[in-house]
Amino acid sequence: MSDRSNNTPCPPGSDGREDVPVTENIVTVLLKSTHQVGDIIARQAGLFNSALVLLATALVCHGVFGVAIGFFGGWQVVAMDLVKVPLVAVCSLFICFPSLYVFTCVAGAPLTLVQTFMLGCSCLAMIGLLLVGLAPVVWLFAVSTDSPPFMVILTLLIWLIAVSFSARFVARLKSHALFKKRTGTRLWFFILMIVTLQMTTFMRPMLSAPDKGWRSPGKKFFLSHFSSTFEHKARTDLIKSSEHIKSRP
Amino acid sequence: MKNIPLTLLRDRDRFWEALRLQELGWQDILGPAVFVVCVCSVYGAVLAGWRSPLLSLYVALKLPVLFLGTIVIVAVFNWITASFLGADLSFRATVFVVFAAMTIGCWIMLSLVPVALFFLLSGMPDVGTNEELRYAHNAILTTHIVILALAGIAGNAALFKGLRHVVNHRCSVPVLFLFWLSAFAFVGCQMSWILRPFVGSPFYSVAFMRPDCLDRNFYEFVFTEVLPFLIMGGR
Repeated sequence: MSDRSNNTPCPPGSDGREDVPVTENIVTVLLKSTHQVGDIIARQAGLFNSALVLLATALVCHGVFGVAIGFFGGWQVVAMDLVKVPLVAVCSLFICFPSLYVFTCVAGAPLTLVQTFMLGCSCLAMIGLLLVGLAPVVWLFAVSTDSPPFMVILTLLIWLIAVSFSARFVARLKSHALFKKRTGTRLWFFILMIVTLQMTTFMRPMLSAPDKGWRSPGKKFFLSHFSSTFEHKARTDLIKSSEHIKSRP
Repeated sequence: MKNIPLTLLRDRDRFWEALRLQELGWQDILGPAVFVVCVCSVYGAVLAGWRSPLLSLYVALKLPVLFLGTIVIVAVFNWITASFLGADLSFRATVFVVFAAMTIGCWIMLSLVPVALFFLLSGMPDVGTNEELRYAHNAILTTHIVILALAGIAGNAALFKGLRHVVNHRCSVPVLFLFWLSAFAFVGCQMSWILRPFVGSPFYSVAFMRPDCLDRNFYEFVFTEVLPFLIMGGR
């Protein structure tokens, strides 16, 4: 398996589709022939470098998405989200990295540490690529609405779509013997999602500029933070409507 | 067999085979036991870390006692039920199987320590109103319950698969598993009741054990306080 070239037939572990040249950019492979990523991970040669390329891709893509969201709050927020969004993604991945390794091993797919790192980076890069694809949609709404709850819901929805595509990408790796058992990675995506939501809360605000520094002080759970966003909006609406009633002749 | 905890993580079948062929001696249990104690201590320190460093230290000592104590108390029962059901397991093998399951659970706990620590550092306010503190306490409690449940499920799944590998084919594995699980849960709940607090409440002072730890038992509490409260709709 390790020395396969263009013309050699696919191994029994693969699903018989045409092989992709090894020299092809890893990001292109991730986009166009996701099933080949399994072979690359199993091969192990030069895996760490490929993982770093994917991590860099993920960071750039998340940065672009951050810029698109940032337009909701103005240029200062654009600059902040350019850094914050990739930071949220990469910090969440590193916090969840031990669980990815252990979950895959316990589920019966004993990956090495480098293979696990590559798998994690591929997942994050896949999420990033999807986010870049949907960044124009977010930008359009960011510049044309002033409702934070709407932006929160839209961003969450788009991020969930990206995560589901990433989970689907891992599901497609099952053609390779190493990824036959997927219970561990399914569970891991759930952990990654929860941690990312909490990381977003930790780095809040994402849609407006903080009063001081680069993030709001204080500790909060993500459910409390997200619900307070909606409560704040409801309160503001109530005040506005009561002022409107008062101002009537 | 060298490094049993790592073997259990990456190549469990080799461990079950060694156990089936009776290649493991009592000295081999030291590795999993030390691993369980270390992981429980680390997780225990994180579990109570939000309340105070003192409680963190207490729980780092108490959590290994809870896990190992429960294993010790149910060990003879496990061996007797295994013999009664015709599993053809030695006392040593029953202890090894339980330790193996606990080691798997501890791997899950260890892998989620960064997650628990992050939630602790980013989600638990140091000060706030009673409502805010209660909310934060419940949130961190839920986080730990989810983590420990994941560890428990993984450990028990490993236990079930392990039993299928090592017991005599005449023995009913689901029945044996159910006996062992029930005994473990029954004793574990009472042990945790005696050794409480683990997470710690923002409204109680820090203590190694509650003064009334031996006054009642876990099941009395459930049947006289929790169930009536739930039946009455929280009134």
